[in-house]
Amino acid sequence: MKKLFATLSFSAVLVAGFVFVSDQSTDSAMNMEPEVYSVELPTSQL
Amino acid sequence: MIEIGPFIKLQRTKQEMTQGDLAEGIVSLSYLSKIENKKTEASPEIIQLLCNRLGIELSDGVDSNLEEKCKQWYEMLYDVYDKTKIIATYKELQGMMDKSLNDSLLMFEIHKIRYYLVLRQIDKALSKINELNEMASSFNITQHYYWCKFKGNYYSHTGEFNQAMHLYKIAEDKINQIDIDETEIADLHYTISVTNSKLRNTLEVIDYANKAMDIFQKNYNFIRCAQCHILLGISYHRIKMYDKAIKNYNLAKHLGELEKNNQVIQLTNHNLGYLYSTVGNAKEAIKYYLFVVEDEEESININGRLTAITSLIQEYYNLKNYERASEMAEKAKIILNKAYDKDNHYYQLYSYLIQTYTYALNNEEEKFKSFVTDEFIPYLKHHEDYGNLVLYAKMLGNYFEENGKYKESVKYYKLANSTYNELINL
Repeated sequence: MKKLFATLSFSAVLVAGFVFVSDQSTDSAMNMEPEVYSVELPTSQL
Repeated sequence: MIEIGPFIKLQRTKQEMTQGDLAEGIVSLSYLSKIENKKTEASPEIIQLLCNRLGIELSDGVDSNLEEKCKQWYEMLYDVYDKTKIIATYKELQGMMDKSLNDSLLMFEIHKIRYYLVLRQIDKALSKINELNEMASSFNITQHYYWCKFKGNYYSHTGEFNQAMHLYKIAEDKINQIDIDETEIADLHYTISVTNSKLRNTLEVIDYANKAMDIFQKNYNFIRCAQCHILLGISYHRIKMYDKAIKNYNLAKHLGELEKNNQVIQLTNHNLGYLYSTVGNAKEAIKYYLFVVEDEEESININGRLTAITSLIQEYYNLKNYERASEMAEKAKIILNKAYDKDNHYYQLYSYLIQTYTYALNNEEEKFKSFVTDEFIPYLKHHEDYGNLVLYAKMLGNYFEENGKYKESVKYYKLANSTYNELINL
């Protein structure tokens, strides 16, 4: 399977895909903006 | 003098009294209803009797002590501040507000929207919005400014960024008509910058982040400056000015280290990881993503950690380092299990991504094929996640083509193409 993927240029597809995605409106999860309210809340307190 | 009707209603509902309970022996039920809805002005004697029954004092003048305390609390909601202090001050203020009806009450009630949001009590924030909605017509311009801004904050939290932007813009239009200090204006500009970033209005992000940073710099507020640098970094990344993006991220990180603020540091690491990933520098991308994943304080939210770890799986996979990729997939499953919201779109998306890689890494070809075909692709279609849909449809097309299954192959290439067109039309 791994070898199969290599021949399928799986990784190339992925890289190309994510580069492509980065310029579109669906990459919201990739870049992370700070919050609109910046009060410090350690995760453990939430 | 404050408009009394809405406050009486507010206090009555807070104390879970019916109109009948409050009106009995003082006024008729319909007259109380008119007072509460500002349809009539009651005499001072009646107002006094109603306040007595509610157990509150009618304060006529300005209580400077209370005003000062309110101001301190409002400032806490704007900056990096300890949660326990915010809650303690809130309770103290609420105690004071419960005892008297005064000019500060309405502004205090409006700020509760922000308070609940920073504490992530989103349902309470929405209830407060609904409660205040009825009296919004009696707000003065300053109150209206905060009302719009905090409602915008609510929509920012729920991901309705267009709606949020609409409200922030109304607030911005009021800036010249009210007396607010420059740090408040900076906070609004920063908020508009973040929202523009969510909406991909890159040039506006830069404009507003710079405006906000001018003021934050003057006040030596390094954390807020760092947050502006992160926004600038994201924007320069998007317009492919990578050097400028890296420079801004490094400045943000430097300021975060100076202030020992791990949230800022890890947020910067995450964005640097993504930048290096998109320019094909896997080694640097891995370095920065690992900082995020290995951060013991877990400073950035679970969504951010999941993005970082799934990105690590991809990077290691691309480098054909299958052992590390598998290690990351296992770690990703642990983080995923900690995710509190299993109905969340991102939780489901990461779950599919991790499973897809797990099958690929374990050489489970049949499972991989049927999982992507029967579950992942339909899921992406349903959620109109065009970016990922193009990616995985194309991948499946490739897979079937190499296996000589041309009919199936064409089907997925077609899907990739039509999805791509859909994406362009967005």
